[in-house]
Amino acid sequence: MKNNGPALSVLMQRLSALPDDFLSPLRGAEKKPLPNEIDVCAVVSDLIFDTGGDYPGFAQMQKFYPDPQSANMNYLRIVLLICYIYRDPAFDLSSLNAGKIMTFLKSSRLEELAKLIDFLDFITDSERREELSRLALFGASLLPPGENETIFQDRLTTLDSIERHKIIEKTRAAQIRAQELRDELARQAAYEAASKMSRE
Amino acid sequence: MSIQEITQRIPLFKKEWTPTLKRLAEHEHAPRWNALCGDRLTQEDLNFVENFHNNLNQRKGSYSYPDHTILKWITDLKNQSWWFENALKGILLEKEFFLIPFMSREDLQTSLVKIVPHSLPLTNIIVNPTSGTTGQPILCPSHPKSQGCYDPLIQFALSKNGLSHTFSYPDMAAIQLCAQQQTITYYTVHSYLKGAGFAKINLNNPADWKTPESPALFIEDMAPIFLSGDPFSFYQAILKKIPYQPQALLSTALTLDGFLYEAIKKYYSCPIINFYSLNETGPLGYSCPHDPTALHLLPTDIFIETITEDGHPQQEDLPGEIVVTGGRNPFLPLLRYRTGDFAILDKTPCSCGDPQPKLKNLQARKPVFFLDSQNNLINPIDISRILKDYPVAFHQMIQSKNKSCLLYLHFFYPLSSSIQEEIKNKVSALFQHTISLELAEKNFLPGEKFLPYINELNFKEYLSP
Repeated sequence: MKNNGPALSVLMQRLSALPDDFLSPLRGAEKKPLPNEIDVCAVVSDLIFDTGGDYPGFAQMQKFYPDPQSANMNYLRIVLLICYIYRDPAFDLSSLNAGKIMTFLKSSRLEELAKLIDFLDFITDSERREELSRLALFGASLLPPGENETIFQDRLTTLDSIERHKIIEKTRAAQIRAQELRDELARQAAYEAASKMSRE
Repeated sequence: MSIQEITQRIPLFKKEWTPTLKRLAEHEHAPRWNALCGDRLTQEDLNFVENFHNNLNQRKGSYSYPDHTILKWITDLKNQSWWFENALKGILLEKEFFLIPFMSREDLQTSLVKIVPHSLPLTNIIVNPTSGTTGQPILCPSHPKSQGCYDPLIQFALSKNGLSHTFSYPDMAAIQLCAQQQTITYYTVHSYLKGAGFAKINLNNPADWKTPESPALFIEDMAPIFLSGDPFSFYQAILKKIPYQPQALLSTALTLDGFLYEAIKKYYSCPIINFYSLNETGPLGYSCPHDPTALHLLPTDIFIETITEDGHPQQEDLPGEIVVTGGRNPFLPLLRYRTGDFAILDKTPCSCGDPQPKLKNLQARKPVFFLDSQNNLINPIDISRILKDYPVAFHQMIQSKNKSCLLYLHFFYPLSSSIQEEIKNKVSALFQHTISLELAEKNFLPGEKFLPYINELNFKEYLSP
């Protein structure tokens, strides 16, 4: 990783000042685009082109279409936020590697992140802003000033761990609740339900 | 029932309703009652049901996007249900409702804990297992107040089809006809209907009845205002020549059309109301009085849409899978729940005056019955009931044109041949051991769509009232 990335504070500030336009609806695949919709494919394509790559073909961009069957809306919103980060003037787009950026945007790491954290948290929560800013730098193989790889990775892991700890707590709560629900359903299954005049 | 049993099951019971219960319990030709049941409504629940009834008359005409009440309901659940929290990540609800991921029948089986609001106390939870006749059985949690809402929904459907009656004691509101080898039978009164009586009886279990004539005599004497049941049970009533003519028939559980509809219409001179309802969703539709083949959306607290195979909104003139959001069951909030049923969603104005959209060409749960060698009808509910006691993940029964049956079973874990033989014997006994029945193991894929019951026989050739 190269040690000439933008300062984290700049990127975090950028996130906290996200324009309202980025909270517009996303354009669906089979719809005609409406004026106030964001086309994630177009945003990604433009970034790839501006970082020296070719405009990606349709097959490469399939992942960036909203699809209720794959529940990818949060992932797409996070991709948009990362593209927005890369558009900060502190980045020299011509020095970014288009291939690495595309690989990062399509990575399972972002998909997994999207399953855990609502994209709005990356705007409103300072630790989440730091996490996403660091991930954007990681995706471009850059380090912020004053950090080496070890320090950078340690901090990223810590931020990740805080979130994972919350997930573990939530999972424990879910397991307790699941047992409670199973027990109560099993108990109630032995009794008659309430009377109703129709059947299904 | 003792007074304790009564008040436990009918908390708002009034002493003056006792004669109805006594009459049902002690009637000379009453069936052998094998269960106790009541509405379980508290005063708070009854207030909820009455408020629900008031909202039923506020019919909604505009249906391109969920209205603010549904959107608020969804937003509120984001903090209460893990399912809603996950599904709504990244979604701007005011504009992106149609991009919310779907909930499926499989999710109810495997992810119920995520759907049920995580901090909701589980007291008053009741369980309605699905029959397993159209998919694998699910334990649907419910609440007395959401069950209580069936009454105003039914009353609305009846009134739209010409039966406007204010039910109260000493009316016998309805008798529900069942035709299975075995099912629960009970009598009760409904608090919302001010003490009007209700009973569920089984026509197909001779052991339930004093004499073969008892079902007809009991129904005649109780004189229910309407009869409810499924097409199969109405047909059994015709075969048994039960002469009673109610003021309406409420046909539920299965699509009533074609040969069965014509047979039932010929026998009964009253309105026949098709009532589309699922265990998971509650009542969804009732047949339009001007076009009985179409079903108006019944409740006002749900949003219904139809989708293509790949999950996009379907065009209005094409059939799509019915997807439901909303409802009044606090234990099972539905968010874009794919029902597995298909219809054309017709939003055009209707001559009957109900502005709510209609479901046309509904491809829901068609009646599938089986025949033994004597052409006696076998209800698939009885097969599901047997299989529920075994570790069967999926099943499919096919009766071919020569009446032989093949029962495919997918077990959760390997079963010994003696247990499999036991299953075979029990199912064969439904047919009086008069048809050939083979069992075969088969691996069904989770999420695979298939019909659990298929019959290749042409019923018209075998049946006539």
